[in-house]
Amino acid sequence: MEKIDHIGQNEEREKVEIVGKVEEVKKTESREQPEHNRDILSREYLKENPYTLPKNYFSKVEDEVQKKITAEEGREGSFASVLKTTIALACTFGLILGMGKGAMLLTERMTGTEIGDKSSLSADLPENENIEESEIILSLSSNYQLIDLLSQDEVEGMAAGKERAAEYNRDDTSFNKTNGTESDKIEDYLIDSNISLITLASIE
Amino acid sequence: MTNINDKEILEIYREEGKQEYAFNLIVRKYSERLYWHIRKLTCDHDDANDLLQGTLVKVWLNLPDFREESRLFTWIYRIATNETLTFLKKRRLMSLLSLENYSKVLENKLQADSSFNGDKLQLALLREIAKLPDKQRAVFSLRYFQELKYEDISEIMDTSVGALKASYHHAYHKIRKALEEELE
Repeated sequence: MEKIDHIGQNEEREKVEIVGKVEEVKKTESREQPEHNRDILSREYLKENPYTLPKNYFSKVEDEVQKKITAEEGREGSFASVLKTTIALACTFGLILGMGKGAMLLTERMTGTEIGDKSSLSADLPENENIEESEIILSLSSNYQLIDLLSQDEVEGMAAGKERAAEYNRDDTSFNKTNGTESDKIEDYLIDSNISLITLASIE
Repeated sequence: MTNINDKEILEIYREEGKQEYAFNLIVRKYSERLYWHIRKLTCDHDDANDLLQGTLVKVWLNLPDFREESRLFTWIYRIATNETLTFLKKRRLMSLLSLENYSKVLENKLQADSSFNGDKLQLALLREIAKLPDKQRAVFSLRYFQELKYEDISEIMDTSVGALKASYHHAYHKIRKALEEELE
């Protein structure tokens, strides 16, 4: 038994020795192998930079970068000032608009009416009644009290016109014409005096 | 390139009247690394130059609000990567509207770049990288060229380490296969 163990141990020792020798041989071969048989990318010269750069390129980089920094900081400054100016202008316009709106609101409150609202002009008119201009003129011409509105000269002129008509024995049609003339005169008076028909219609 | 560490830079920044000096230290320390990272993504010097300057301006403007929840260098790289990815997204959209393939546009830029002084294999590598989607290209650039740890890239890209490893290995094998075919 002891002999067999001894033989086993010797065999193992020999195996280890053989393996060691093989590894040594492999290492020697790899050192001696021509370069082109090794991994192509392991060639050190491939990691070198194969470019020619402008003379003193890297020593100039510092100055170039400094110029860019100065330009960049200058640009940031001008941008900030432009922004400030824009904001100031926007605030000014907003203030002016606000003041204008405030003035409008104040005026509306004081007058009790909304500016631009035309409904107040027709506030005195009865509802659902469409009064035409021609109707107003007709009612005015038949309303003798309105003669008071006319000037004294116009009244005398009208009276003189009637007398002249009577002297020359004009027919009824001319009298009708005179009547028509009278309504024209009333209309002209109203227009010249800038009296609105709606105002007159409200007079009882 | 200055050997001052980020903690010292931030301490200087907090001192009265030393903000500009501290920022210049950041520019001297990071501008070259950031430039090459951005250049790998844009494949163009003018674009990389503009984006580098834009990144550093943003760093300056946002430094007062930097709360040190992340490290300074991952924060700066994050700004650079995000600025570049945003730029590429806009360019892709413009290419789409003009019915162009933007990856092809990048490849053509590489071919036509007069400042390129590498060999055929380097050009092939850059061409294969340009074919990758933008985010994967950023991951590949940070891992392969910048040699950053996955944990750092995770902070920069706001992506899990596992997802980054998968993305990188997929890109690595795809590019390796393409380069091996190129050499045959």
